[in-house]
Amino acid sequence: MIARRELLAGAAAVGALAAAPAAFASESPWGLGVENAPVDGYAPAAMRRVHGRAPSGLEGSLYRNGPGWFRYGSSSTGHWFDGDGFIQRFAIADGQARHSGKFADTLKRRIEQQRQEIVFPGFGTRGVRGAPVQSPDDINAANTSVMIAGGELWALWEGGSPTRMNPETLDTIGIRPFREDLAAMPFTAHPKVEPNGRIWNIGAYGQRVIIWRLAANGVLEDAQVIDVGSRSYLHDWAVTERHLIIPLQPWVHDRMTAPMVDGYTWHGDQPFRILVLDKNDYSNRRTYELPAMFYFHTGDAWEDSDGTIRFDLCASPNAHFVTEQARTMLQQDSGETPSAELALAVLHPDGRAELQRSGIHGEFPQTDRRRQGLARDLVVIANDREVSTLGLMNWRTGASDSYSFGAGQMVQEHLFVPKPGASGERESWLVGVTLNERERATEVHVFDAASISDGPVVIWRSRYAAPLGFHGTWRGA
Amino acid sequence: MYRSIIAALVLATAVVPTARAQDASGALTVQLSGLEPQGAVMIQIFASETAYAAGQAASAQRVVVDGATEEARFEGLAPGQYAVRLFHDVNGDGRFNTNPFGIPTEPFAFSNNARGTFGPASWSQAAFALNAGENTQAIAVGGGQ
Ligand SMILES: [Fe+2]
Repeated sequence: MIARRELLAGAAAVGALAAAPAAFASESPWGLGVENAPVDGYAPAAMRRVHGRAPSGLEGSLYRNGPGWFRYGSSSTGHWFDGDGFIQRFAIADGQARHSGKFADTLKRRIEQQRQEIVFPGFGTRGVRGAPVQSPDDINAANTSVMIAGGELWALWEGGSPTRMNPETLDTIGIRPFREDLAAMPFTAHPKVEPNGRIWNIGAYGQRVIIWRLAANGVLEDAQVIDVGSRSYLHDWAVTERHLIIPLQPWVHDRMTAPMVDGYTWHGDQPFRILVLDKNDYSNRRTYELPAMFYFHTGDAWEDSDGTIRFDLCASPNAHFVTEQARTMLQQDSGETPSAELALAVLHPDGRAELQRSGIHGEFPQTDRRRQGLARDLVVIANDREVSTLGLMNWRTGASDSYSFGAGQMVQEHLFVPKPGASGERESWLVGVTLNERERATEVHVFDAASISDGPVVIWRSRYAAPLGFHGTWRGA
Repeated sequence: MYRSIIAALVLATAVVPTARAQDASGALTVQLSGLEPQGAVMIQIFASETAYAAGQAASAQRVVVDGATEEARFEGLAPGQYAVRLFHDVNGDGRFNTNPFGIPTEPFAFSNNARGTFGPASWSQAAFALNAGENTQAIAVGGGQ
């Protein structure tokens, strides 16, 4: 690190400032995870098994998405959330794992690669003066999550359309509207898929929200626009068997300014509202209130027979991570914000709401997707801050289990993968990725959900140190 | 943020004739490319910054789209600064369609292939000098995706 700093000072002295941002990025503990991936991605390559052995029956692919390109020389993205979508595949078959990756071929990326500079405005990026933007999809980074629908892999953003890709080659097919009159409408990176395959999603624009309903094959069934009465930052939401749950946090877009993130204000004196809509009649609504808090992610929701609704979320006292750390981590280490706390929001039939805190910390909550909208016990979270741990909470018993990865491992989202022929939540593997800073390599870790404190049953190490990602999906073989 | 371009393209149906130069008038050929062969392109030309801002076109044409390229020709124009704006009425309903959040769902374009930032191109981006005799503007429509 010292050597790097001296080198940097030397470089600056001779005017070679173009080298600076990349060097700065490596000063942060997050640095390795926000370096540009190779322009052509990663060709499929075998991963090395460095621990344990592959459990029999684990066959399929983990697809992950996240920002993978941040800078051209001194021209840098202003916020982690604005990097180009880089889709990675970890294909597991016959006890072996292979890693590949490719950028989503977006308009934004094509133009910026051609000009070799950051051109477009984004969530936390100003863009160049006069950047050509005629539609939100012109700045669509396709960088937040992935889903499988209709045999395609969709790279999801939240301000515009899904970008359709080939799940085998990771080649980009392109953007195709669900219906001509709904082109360029927002579609969040957190669609909810019912056990029968039906897909629900939302997209926010000001205080209006579109509610999407798609068939299992990705074809539009219905889309309606509602007014939610608040310009709250809306990244994730929740769905039960009968209701749609739209949390409206007091981080509100109340100024039109560039970059967009600067237009949000934290209103700590205002409540965290939760709008609950009847799936069959969006005009049938109730609103609940909790004390102010910030969240990115929910886990999932369910309701009891008496109408009590429960959903997990990762709650922070304020918006510090998104307004500060997610920008400065691209330039230098400015200190980390504390991790969010896993909590369960409980909405009672009499209109009261309460928040049950778990005492365990982390983000990227995941549940058994076969139980989407249904009663369940478990939720898994990854803590990438104070300590690097995977935590598994059981809401029914109140007990939690955890595994510590030790220093130098950035733990990312882990997904429930059902064991073949089994139906219980605990009869699942938890499959996810870490960035091993010491080995400068991305790793796949597989845990048995019944005993995560026993440690991973297998670890595969890639030959690549891939950028950190956000969210993924599992496609069974 | 998209409101201004909607207003500009939808409401500007008025055509204000310019004084025709007796001699030495100019002609403008607008060459369109990148078209999906359906519907029609609605083209307007403007003779001043004020007229451009007010949506008062000096001349307008509707060109039926049968192929990936089409042409429109405007004649008898006084030499000077002009700007062209157009939209491709893909579904042929005569309107510049938008999605429920007011974002255009049909391609639109300007002379010089100028593009605005979250809205129409400015006069200074789109303006070009029209000289006496033949003039050409080659415009890629929907050239983005
Ligand atoms: Fe997310």
